[in-house]
Amino acid sequence: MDETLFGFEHIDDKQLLLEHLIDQFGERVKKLAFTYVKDWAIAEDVAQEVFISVYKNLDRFRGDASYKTWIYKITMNKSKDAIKTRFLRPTKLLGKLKLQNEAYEQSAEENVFEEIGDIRLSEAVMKLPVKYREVIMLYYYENLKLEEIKSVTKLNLSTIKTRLRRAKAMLRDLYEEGVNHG
Amino acid sequence: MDERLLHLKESMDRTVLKNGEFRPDEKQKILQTIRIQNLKRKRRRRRWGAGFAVAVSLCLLFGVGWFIFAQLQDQPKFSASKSSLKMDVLDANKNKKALDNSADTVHPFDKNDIERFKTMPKRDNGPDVQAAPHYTYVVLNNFYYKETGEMVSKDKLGQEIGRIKRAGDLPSDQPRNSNGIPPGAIYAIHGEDPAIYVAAKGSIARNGKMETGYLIFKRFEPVKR
Repeated sequence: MDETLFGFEHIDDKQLLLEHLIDQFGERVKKLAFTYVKDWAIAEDVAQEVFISVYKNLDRFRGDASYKTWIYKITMNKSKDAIKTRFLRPTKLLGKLKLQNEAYEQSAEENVFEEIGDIRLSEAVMKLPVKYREVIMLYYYENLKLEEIKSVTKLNLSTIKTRLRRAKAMLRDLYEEGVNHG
Repeated sequence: MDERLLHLKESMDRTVLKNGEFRPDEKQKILQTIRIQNLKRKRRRRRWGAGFAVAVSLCLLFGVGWFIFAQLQDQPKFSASKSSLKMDVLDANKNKKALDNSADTVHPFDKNDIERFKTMPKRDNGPDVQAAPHYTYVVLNNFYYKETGEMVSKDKLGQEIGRIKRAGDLPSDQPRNSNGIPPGAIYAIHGEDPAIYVAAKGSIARNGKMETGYLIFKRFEPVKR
């Protein structure tokens, strides 16, 4: 099933189409935004801005890319704007991440080893610099193909592969660091 | 690491992205925002539309007004104002009363006046000018040239051989050159004797409408003085 087009190509009403897109991609957009802004309230605002932008530009959407890659591109841009313009500063980001960590560490004590591994991996991903985190998220979390990542990020394939390689190396170190500290 | 990364989605959804569900109220908030924006856009368009319509109407009104004004400016000066018309009417009434009181006024339906009219001396055009002919004419070399009812084309005209200086058909004590042709040139006609046929520009009624062109005149009788 082509989730990018299924059921959408016959929808003429703009508002109806938007509702379908929200149903299909709302959660993904919010989560992807969170990986940038690391705050659920801001991620919610970003998601709202993304879909309002989608609605405004639906007429201009030519269909040469899929809805998925188009919406992800808007999400990334809006998220990066939010980081630049809002009150989120690096120290605050770290602070928020710590809070998140504490919450998971508490539950991690109660949970099995697998969940600890999940936490460590998630934390490691969230600690990556943005440019490495986004390719990891798009490739492993969103399961986009390299060509799709190229369309979303406007990076060339070699750059994407390089960043993926470096991101995995950094993740290995961060994960081991987590293991050593945890 | 690669193995772990293959399950990254599950790992993150269970942990850092656990609270990331998209709630129905979030969806409604987006749709509501869009509805409000659409409403604002429609109101803006309506305002612009109304403003545009008013502007166009004003322009049309101004244009029509200007046109009418221009037309009024072009009309002849003798279109008198109301007040001067009134004056004319008043003057005319005064004159009428004066005329009515005058002994010389002729009332067509008054028998006495008709008798008086019959005995009144005839208007004298002066010893040197005879009463004008009753046909349309031009005068050239002391001859009346009578209108033939025919016309000649411009390319058949010869040289100018005379001029109509005074024209008109009202009684006058001065000799006239024509009683139906406006002042202008009298021409010879190619192939015709100018002592017999001449042409002058004027208008005649033909086939129920007035035609303007070069009318042919034929010598008719001498001007008696």
